[in-house]
Amino acid sequence: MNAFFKAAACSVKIFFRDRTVIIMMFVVPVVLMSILGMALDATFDKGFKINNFNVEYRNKSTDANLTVGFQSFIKALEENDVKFVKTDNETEGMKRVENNQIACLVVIDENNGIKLYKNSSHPLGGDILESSLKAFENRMNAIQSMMAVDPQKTMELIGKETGESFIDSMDKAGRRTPTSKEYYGVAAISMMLAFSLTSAYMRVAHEMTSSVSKRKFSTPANPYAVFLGSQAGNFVAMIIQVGVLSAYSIFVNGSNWGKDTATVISVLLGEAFLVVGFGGMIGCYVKDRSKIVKINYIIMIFAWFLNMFAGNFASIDNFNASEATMKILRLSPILKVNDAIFGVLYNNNSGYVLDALVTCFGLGLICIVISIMLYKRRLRA
Amino acid sequence: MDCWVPTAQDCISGLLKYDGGQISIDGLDIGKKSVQAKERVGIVPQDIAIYDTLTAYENVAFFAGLYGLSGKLLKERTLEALEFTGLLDQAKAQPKTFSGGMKRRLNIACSIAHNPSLIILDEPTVGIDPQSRNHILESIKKLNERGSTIIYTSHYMEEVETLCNNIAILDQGKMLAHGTKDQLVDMVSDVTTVQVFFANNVMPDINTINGNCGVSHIEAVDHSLKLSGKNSSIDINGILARLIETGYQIRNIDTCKPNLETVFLNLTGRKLRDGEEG
Repeated sequence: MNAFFKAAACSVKIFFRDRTVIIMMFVVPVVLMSILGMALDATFDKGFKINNFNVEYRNKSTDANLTVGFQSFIKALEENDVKFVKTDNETEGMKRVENNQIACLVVIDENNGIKLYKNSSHPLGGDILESSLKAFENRMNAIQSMMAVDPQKTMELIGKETGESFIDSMDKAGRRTPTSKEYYGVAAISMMLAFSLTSAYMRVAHEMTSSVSKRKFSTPANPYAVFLGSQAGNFVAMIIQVGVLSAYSIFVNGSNWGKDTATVISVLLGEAFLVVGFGGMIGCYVKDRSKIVKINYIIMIFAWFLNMFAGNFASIDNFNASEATMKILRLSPILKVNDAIFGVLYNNNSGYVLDALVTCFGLGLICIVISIMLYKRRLRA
Repeated sequence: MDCWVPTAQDCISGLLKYDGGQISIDGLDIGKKSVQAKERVGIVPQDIAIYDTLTAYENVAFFAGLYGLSGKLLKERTLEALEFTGLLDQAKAQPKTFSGGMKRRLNIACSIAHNPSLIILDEPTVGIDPQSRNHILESIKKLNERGSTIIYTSHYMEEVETLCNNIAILDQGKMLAHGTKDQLVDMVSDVTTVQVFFANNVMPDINTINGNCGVSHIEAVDHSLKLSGKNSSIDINGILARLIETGYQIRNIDTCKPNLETVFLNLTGRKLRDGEEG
């Protein structure tokens, strides 16, 4: 265990003394958070647009107040690019949700309350609609109470409903809507973690092909303890990176991370673990020093695509991709990370967190096991 | 010679399985008591094996730590190794600021802090300044005097002559000769070498002599000719007469004693080895 901790400490020192790494891991994301936050502020502050988000609704209610209220709810959300279409057949609507022909089905019934059926094609949009419906339900309950006191005044209020009235509740801290600051305050960290794949790979690949590793092997220390220690050190360095960037995002950049900051950070750490494991695995595979840089170019391109299709450059809901494409994209662990984070951040929905954590830590662990096998093969070459 | 050292290093460090023979260090079989045996070995690889971003102290302490040293002993031995290699005043500096010689010395310091009884050095003086080279050679002598066995690999025969009391010449993966310096020199004692210096530094054409009068090898060295041939066949007087007849004025003649380089060239041949590794 002594060798494990010595190797871990050594890795952390090496990480933080590499100026290029410091710039890439800390300075670039800080700049990105600020620049993207400001540059795309207009898009976000006008409301969180959900393109290609089609909702069907069936109003079974006979309550005129509820119908009027729901119409103003529809009007408010249509201002935010949510398209509502009326349906009379609930069963058919549910089938269309199941077949991803529409994103959601809303059924209004004054006896059974509001029912929402949604699929996984637009998780963020689905979450937003769900929270908006909750806000609508709360408001209607309040209105019912107000009606008893002053029906005239209440009807005037219902008619003046705006999108802000319902979308307000998406932000748990009570702010109007999620802004670009919120989005990129987290997306920039997720993005840089994905790009950290290159440095995680480079550190292992360089070491594996250098005389330093031979010197390490020639010591009586257990080589697996040394290797795992180095990887643990790399992970610790990334934990520090996530901590510093999160603190910057929240306290300096002023991004709202909601109340479940610990959950959001734990999901980001899952991504960091996967990055260390995956990068290390490719690093262990490389035997020829001259190929390290060439492979790194491929990894950079891979990381770039990974970020793009995970919505780290722009929300994936804007892609207007087919359902089949979306299904493939949803396999991406980085996208799972983002869905989990934004679910928590915007809607207090932790439903995607476990999936993201299991995927990231599970895949990371598999990568580490494969790394050890490759390492073992190298030791006995 | 290159091929042997990495193979031996890899076998001793447990990286390479060997299909024959036995490796024992201080009586410990490397195959059976690998950990204990490794504790007694210090390997100085030909390529510099240090971390550029760790300080000299951190480098030595890290590798000594992997040999099981810790606490006060680790600190003492680390400082001792740095002092021994003349790097104590650079303990807090990072190797990226070091000269080639300093890096080589640090490379050695990382291998000796745990006081190994066997130290394998693979060409530790390649590409460094004369001062560092001298320091390294003196340090190696001291390590040997302190009780460590040194396996020293070099293409520099004068270094081998100075340091080693048991020499093996390897070529193309085969051991061609083995013994003390005198024993190896005796192997080529039937070869006579003379060096002929000319007045006014005027050099004759090598082809006028080569192959004649029993000369088997001839080379131009600093305005002189170095001629070698078997004792039984070389005709020194005939060579001199031929040179004088051709009109060259001879200033001086030296008889050269065979040295390790003579032995090496004699055993391995004089053909250039471009692109080949020993």
